[in-house]
Amino acid sequence: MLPYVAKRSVQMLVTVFVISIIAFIVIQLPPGDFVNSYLATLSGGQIVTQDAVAALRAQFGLDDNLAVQYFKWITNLLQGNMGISFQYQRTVIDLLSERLPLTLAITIPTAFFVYAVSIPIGIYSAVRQYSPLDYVFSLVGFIGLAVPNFLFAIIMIYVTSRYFGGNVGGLFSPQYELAPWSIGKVLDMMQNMSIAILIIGTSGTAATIRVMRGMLLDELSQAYVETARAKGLSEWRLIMKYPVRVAISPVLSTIGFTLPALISGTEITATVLNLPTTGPLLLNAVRSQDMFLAASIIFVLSILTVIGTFISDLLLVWADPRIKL
Amino acid sequence: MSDSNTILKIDDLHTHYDTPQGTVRAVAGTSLEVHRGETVGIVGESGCGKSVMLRSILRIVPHPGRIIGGSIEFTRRDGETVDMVKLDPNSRKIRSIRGDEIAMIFQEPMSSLSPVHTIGDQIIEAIVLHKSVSNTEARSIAIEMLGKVAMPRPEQIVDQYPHEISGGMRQRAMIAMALSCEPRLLIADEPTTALDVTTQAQILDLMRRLQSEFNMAIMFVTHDLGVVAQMTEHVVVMYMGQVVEAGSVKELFTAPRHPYTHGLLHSIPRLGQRKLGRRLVSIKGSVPDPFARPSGCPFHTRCQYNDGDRCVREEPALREVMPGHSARCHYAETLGLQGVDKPAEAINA
Ligand SMILES: Nc1ncnc2c1ncn2[C@@H]1O[C@H](COP(=O)(O)OP(=O)(O)OP(=O)(O)O)[C@@H](O)[C@H]1O
Ligand SMILES: [Mg+2]
Repeated sequence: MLPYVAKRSVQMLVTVFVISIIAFIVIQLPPGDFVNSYLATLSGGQIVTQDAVAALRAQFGLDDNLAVQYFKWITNLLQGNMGISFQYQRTVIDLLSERLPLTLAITIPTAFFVYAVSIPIGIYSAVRQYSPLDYVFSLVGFIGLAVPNFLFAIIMIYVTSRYFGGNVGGLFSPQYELAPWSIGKVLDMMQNMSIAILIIGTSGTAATIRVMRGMLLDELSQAYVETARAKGLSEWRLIMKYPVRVAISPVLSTIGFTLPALISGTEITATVLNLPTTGPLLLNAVRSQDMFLAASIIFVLSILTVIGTFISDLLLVWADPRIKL
Repeated sequence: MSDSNTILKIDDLHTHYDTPQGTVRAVAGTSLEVHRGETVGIVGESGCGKSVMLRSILRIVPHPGRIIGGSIEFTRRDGETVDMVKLDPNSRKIRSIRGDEIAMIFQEPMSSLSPVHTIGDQIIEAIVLHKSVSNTEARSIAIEMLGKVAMPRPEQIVDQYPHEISGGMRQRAMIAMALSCEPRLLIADEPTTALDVTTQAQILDLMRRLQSEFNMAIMFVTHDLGVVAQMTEHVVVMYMGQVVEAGSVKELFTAPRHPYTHGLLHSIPRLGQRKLGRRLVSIKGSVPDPFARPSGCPFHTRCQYNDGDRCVREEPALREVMPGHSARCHYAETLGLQGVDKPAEAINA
């Protein structure tokens, strides 16, 4: 076990390093740099002198070649300094420490939501294949997969405001926006978050239901299930102990990459819902070539992904004795 | 003729599969009896309904199969006789019979054990389910059973996973599990088909030994008449979901009364030709489409004694042609079919 963990750790370091280089290069690929896109966003009519532009470039260190820029950034990063965001004129660390906790506060419960809902439904659908409820779940699942999250978000905003007079979007309802922390404010936040969780988690839930159902259907016809039945176990007990146990491990092991997928896959939804997570931040940073910010977010996400995958692999090894390290 | 020694009596059992293409009469009026401590061999071509019949006994016929008629009377340890057909397949009562009084072992030792549970876990579960013992006691019973099936190093095997041991050892583990509650009836559906010849011989030897030790009855499905001759006292020959002939091994081999049995006996390959897992194929033609059951005697399409009249019109009944020997043929008494010696090549034991 220990040599495996060590080997994987080295692999993980290399992966993160490579991702950081790629991220840095990709962000710079579009023509121009932050100063160009910054100038483009300035309202027309303003005259900017060449000198001012050069001064800006020098200030942001954009005159160095790419390798130097990367080297500066990564050495700073290793000392815990992620640089500054040109656009926000704040340190990246500052921005991330504001956004990341909220991102996690939404994505972790979403992951729980996804598994807590999809696994029981997947089990039921497989065991009662072709029952009316199985058809219902399948239909709902396909809709959940087919409707893009942001569209779902817009629909939710409409429905909630139209019929419940509530407010969707943002983290707080208007009356709590500026209020000091109180129980009411926490409840309000949870309510707003639960809508986000529902929207962000739906497609993952639908997909996981399909996977769980399919996996379990394969297992239900296995001979060892019949052995268990012939032993005298009751139907549900044997299903939970044997085929579910076998089918669930590959499903559960995806938990590692669900997290980063949820974090990075929700930019548009979070933008529509006006949630201050890292998603919209990354979107903006990439659009305006705010390179230290974008590269740092991608760096953090890649670390999460790599760690998530590692956890997945460990879970799988733990769950399936047939897998040798 | 059922007597106090009968522990299982199947009467006119019908198990059908409703499929979109039509109804398959997998078991179409099977009747047979099993007595205490007796070994009954069940033979017949692939698809004749052996497995479905055995699963019907335990009421574990998979969907969409269902029993639509007949009775399966089983005499319990306490003397009570229950009709398995009348029980709800999920009822507590039938579950207390499964695995405890009637145990079953299957053909595929590779897939019949859960890959993610230890051998011990799976055996202990059966013991704890049916006996009021603690987990620790159950564990020592499991180890003891593994020893009885001649498993090497039972104390270690008990904590190992199926993929860590060989196919023969897995089948031993299956047998240990099946016997752990000392069943009155062991149902073995081709328990050695998937094993190599040497391992097969060892397993058969083991089963025979354990049978006398536990004094249980065994229903033994096989395609190998050599195994039948070696293992069983009584044979049941099935064709298209029905018993076409039943009797003692000696009777049936030396004086078969049904042309199908006759065909099977004369299709035994000679010594040296025997290929592992070889199925019985040398009867003319092949098994009719299960959706298009022939009229009259279901075997008439392949029978060289088909009279073209009665055989095609009228379905023969299973009747006793000699005490303890019955056949389902209009001409059972008069055909004078040639038997064989008890197959000499048996298996390479
Ligand atoms: N799920 C099913 N759906 C439809 N028909 C089925 C199903 N399972 C079994 N049958 C039919 O039941 C009949 C008997 O099958 P069974 O498995 O009992 O044969 P068998 O005698 O055990 O054959 P083998 O020697 O190959 O094991 C076959 O004709 C088969 O087509
Ligand atoms: Mg079979």
